[in-house]
Amino acid sequence: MYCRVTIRIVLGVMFCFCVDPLYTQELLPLHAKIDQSVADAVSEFERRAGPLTTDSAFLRRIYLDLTGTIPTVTEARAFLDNNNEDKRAAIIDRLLMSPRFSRHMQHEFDVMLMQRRPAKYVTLSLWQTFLFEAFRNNLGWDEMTRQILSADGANPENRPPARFLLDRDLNPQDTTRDIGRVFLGRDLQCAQCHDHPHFEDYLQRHYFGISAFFSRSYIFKDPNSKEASLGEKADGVVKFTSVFTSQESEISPRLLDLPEIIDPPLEEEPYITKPDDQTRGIPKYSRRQQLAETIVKQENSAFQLNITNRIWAMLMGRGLVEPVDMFHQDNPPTHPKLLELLSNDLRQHQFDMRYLIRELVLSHTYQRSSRLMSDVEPPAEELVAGQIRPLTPEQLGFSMLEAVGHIENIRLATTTKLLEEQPQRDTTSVAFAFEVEQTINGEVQPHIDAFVNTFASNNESRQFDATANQALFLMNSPLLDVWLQPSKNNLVARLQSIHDIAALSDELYMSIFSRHPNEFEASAVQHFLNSFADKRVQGLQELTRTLLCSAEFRLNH
Amino acid sequence: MKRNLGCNILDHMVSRRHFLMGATATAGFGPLLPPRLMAEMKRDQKQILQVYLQGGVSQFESWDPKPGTEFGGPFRAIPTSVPGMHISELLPYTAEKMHLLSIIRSVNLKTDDHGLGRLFMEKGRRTGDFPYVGAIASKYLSAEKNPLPGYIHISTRGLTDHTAAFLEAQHGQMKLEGFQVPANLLRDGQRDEATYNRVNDFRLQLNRQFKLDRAKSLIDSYDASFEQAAQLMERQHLFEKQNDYDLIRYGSHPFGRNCILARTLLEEGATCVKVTHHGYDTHAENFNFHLEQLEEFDQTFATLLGDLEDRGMLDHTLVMVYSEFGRTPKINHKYGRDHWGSSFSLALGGCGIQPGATIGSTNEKGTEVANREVDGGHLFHTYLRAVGINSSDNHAIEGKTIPIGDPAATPIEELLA
Amino acid sequence: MTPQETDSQTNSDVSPPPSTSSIDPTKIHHIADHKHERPLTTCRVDPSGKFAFAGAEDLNVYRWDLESGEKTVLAGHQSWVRSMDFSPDGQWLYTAGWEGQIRSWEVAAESPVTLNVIQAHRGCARWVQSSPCGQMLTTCGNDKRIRVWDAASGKQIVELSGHRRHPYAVLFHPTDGHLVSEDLMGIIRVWDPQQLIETNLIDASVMTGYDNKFAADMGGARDMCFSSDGSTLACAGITAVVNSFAGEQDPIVVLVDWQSKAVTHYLKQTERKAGIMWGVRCHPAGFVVGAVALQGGGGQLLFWQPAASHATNAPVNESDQTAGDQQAQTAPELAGEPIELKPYHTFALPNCARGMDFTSDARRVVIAHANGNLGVYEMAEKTDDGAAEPTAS
Repeated sequence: MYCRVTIRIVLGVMFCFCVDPLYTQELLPLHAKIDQSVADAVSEFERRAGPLTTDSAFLRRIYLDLTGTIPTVTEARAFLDNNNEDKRAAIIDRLLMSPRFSRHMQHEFDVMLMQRRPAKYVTLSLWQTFLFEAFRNNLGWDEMTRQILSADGANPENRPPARFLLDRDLNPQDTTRDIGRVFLGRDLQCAQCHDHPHFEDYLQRHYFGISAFFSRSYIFKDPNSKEASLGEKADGVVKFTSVFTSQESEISPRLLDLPEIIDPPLEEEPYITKPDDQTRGIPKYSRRQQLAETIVKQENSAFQLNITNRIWAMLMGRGLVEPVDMFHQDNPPTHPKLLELLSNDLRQHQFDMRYLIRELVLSHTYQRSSRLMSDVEPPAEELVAGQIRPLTPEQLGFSMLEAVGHIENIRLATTTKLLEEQPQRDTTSVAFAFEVEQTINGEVQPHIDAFVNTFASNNESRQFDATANQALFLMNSPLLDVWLQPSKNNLVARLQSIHDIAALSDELYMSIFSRHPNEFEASAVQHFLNSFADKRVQGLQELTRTLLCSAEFRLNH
Repeated sequence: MKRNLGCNILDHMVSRRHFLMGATATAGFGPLLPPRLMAEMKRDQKQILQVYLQGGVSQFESWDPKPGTEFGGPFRAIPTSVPGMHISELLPYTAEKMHLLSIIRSVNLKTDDHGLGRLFMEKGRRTGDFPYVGAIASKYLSAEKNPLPGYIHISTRGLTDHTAAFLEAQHGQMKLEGFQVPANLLRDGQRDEATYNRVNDFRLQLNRQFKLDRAKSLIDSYDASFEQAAQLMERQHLFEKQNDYDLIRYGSHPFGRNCILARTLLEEGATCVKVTHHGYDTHAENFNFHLEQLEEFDQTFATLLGDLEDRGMLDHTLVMVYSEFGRTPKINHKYGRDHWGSSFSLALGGCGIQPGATIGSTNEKGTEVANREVDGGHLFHTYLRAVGINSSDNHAIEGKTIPIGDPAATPIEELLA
Repeated sequence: MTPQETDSQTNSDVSPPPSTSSIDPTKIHHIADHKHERPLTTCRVDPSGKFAFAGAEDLNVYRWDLESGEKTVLAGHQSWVRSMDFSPDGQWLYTAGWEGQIRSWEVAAESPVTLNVIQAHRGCARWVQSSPCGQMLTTCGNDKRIRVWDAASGKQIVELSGHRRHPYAVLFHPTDGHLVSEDLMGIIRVWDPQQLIETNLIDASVMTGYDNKFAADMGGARDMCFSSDGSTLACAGITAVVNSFAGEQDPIVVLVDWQSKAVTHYLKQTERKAGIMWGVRCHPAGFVVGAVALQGGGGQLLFWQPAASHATNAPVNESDQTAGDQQAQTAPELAGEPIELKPYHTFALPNCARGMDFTSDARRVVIAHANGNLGVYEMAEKTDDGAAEPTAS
């Protein structure tokens, strides 16, 4: 009821502002403009829109979306017991600054940029650290892109970001396609052989225009260190032939429909270092650097729209353009003005992704309940209810490890160890938190890998492909058995020491679902445990495992 | 039509367990019956075997050879067991079984895209969220107490398709990554049957509660994955060592082993089994690759077809051999053939199909369909009619009616038995 | 198929063949094109040097008079011809068709007709070669057999089995009576045909790759030749498979020291460009030539000097510092890993190469192109009148 009232007040306020659009534009924060835009797009919005989520559902959702894991039982209790009105905004701000946010973004952007490719030339941990630090330091997406596309991998500083190009082996098809998909939201694959047969705006010259930026670049293997880096030559042209017309065209570097970038006249000595077997070629004029500089420019709106849409999709479960790499005229955004507004705002904020994420999660659109108001499921693009979506493999792995208390045990041990080494350290400092969380990340990585192997699909689709193999893993994997052995302060050990069924159910539900159980649920727990009679530990283990196997745990709702 | 509406998953579980108990009492009903006896069982359940040649098999090198013509390539045509019917010399074993199959040589999908072609061949529609043939078979043909998932896809590679669309999630395809025992199939010793059932009931209870006022599709899909896992756990013998007699006849390569598994799954009651044979997207070295791939396909497939015939299974099993499209007449500079959806072929046989027929034709050089042009819509109606599903009927889903086949298309009547 | 008028640019007033000392691959240039309307598959020049023969993506073999450009059709095969050879006296042509047949023809007949047909293999006949004495033929095919035939009667003399995958090429050694064959998996087998035994197995599996995505193997010898003294075997093909279904792999020539049967050299491009090495020849002057079809559509001729230090990264063995007209020598007992050699010259071809041969004076290179052209290129300084002048050596 609280939520309903709030919406009415906000909508009422909005309505007042609507009298003077200019005034509205200036005064409303971005998240309010989002809600207004969403409301404007649906008739009878107020009647159809669902309420905001409960505190507990919000808590679980915001933790999953900003930190990639569920809250610890302590964090969950603290939030639910807090009566401050602005506690949602407060926790958003706290989580955005936490090491877990950087880690979660690292995972999300790793999958987006590399699609779970195995490491080829660049050590995985270097790349992961690069992404982690980028989010820790809140690097703008333009700067991050510039670093990724301009790095030649020849020195330690720019080796990690060079993974994008190096580990694709600079393969022309993969590299061109993925630059189109990841940075511009356009899968130009079919345009390689002919203008796209179905999308009039995917042209061969788009594909080959992108390909021309790095057609002079090549993988150079240092004869001494055997390390691969990117070399480049000073001349060479890209030609393409349509399989339909057999007409051959030459093309200069060009981003979609922006003007061609014509090479300056070739100097007599065009090289800083001339390429040969022993030496990496470095030309005075680099086409590849032009890509890094041009792609982030203001006139390249595809770059801005793409990242805005991808962040929206990450938080809302569905892009304003869906699929996210299918921007074209026959697949317009569901909310064109909103996407325009958000992407302009992001650019004006120097591509500050943390800013955009904060505004999105502050919106009521994000915080709406996934419970349905009627039997008929509203169309997802109306954004009148929260979207249910599966946890990513990383979210599932970290959440499970957090729920069973495995991570909390590591956290305690690490904190103790650090304090033993340096008793005077400030355990509340940011630096301390980062150190503890990075130790945890290192220790649990093998477990997370097991989840990735089982739950990751080869494509980037957000479609939920629940498979029998995954169910077998959840039901039978010995990995989970290990975590369910009572140990130190883990969940089963805590449950073992609680004999009051209400308290036991509460600890169980708060640890796994971040919410209190209702009476019916508590009695179901009791019923289940009773059926194990004297095998209480086994009962607790099966109970925990069953909750971990439930849809409520598997989904972000 | 037998509809399996309102199949409550909990009921399903109960009846499945009931079945299992019965099976235990009779010392394993399914697996221990010798194949001959299985064949003699009176069966009225229609089934489908799909052999999917992924990437687009060349029609010139398979069902529609054009030797000596401009685009014919180096291979010759050979006679088959059907007088007057010739196929590529790359399929000598299959040629001897052509009296069990029919060829459609006039497919025009009007697309050269892998994804669009595959979806059109499977869903009978160019676009839209519609169920695959296998999911429809699972829904309308499966017995109520089917011991196995209705639609099983054996593939060594992870192509993830959303196959059930608006049908219940349990009709979506269950993927087996080859013939190996799936990881975590075997449970540790601690949990007995009773414990497993308690755990399972409790999980279902939690999920029922959770989905009361939420969008159901994801939750149903999640439940279905556990249901399928449970069915596999009960039939671990499916993954036991394959016998040498079969391995010699089918070949010990993955496709041979996958086809042995497909036969076993059909014998044990899976409604639709799809086996994917990879490696036909031959933009380069089309001829050497077709030699390699079709040599592997030919003997194995002919053996499987022969086994289905010997065991009396062809009467109730539709056999499809298909790709998402064919390959270009033009041979490129890499000795490759590229994507070509405008005039290609497929083979059908078994349940409901006239054997030994040739439907449609291409022109002399194979560059376009000459007569009886069909597309994925016509084929889709034909598959379903062959197994007794009225494809002009509607799905009845939550009060809505959705035509099963595209109303704009019709079955290939002259091919139906 | 009717004979086509040639569009030859050959200067009919060709000067007599100069000595090999004036041969300079770095000066190679285009001389003539003889045209056919279908893509060519292979080519050879007869020992007299008068004719070039080519197979094509049709059922015929074509003969061009290299001087006049006159084209003659040799009809009879029921499939593509992708390998051919001559009797050492230059009188007979033997062609291998993918229908499994070997046909023999009179090289210089006005309108050659099939003189003899051997149904040599079940499945494609991939290769045919005449023995050095001319009395025998060896062939291989998709029935995985290596066979030796009496050239005159067409009777089978020897059958050898052992290859588990398709053998792509088979040769007689020029002097020691052995046979050597290479299959799809880069397995090179050396046979003693008289004893009916396999004497050596050479691992050239660098020339094959399994494409994980498509679950298939690609590799094998696309051409094979011996140096004229038989000391070196050269095998042309592919390596480093990335996506062979899209033609993405590197061309390579692998050299084998015949005495030790050791793989000594990997001959590669200066700069990796995806494609297939469809031709290799060992020049009497000691260099090796490779002919490439690039994935993108063009072609390359690559020139290596295995024994000399033209290559930028090849270690020079003290034992073989001589180059030029000396026969290439290797010292396999010194070589652990095969030496990777870059070409000292690369010549861009206008179209994919699918076969290559030298003219009898070893001065010109004839290439079967995928666009139907039979290209003629001369390895010497270009002169105004189109004929070559000896260059300073």
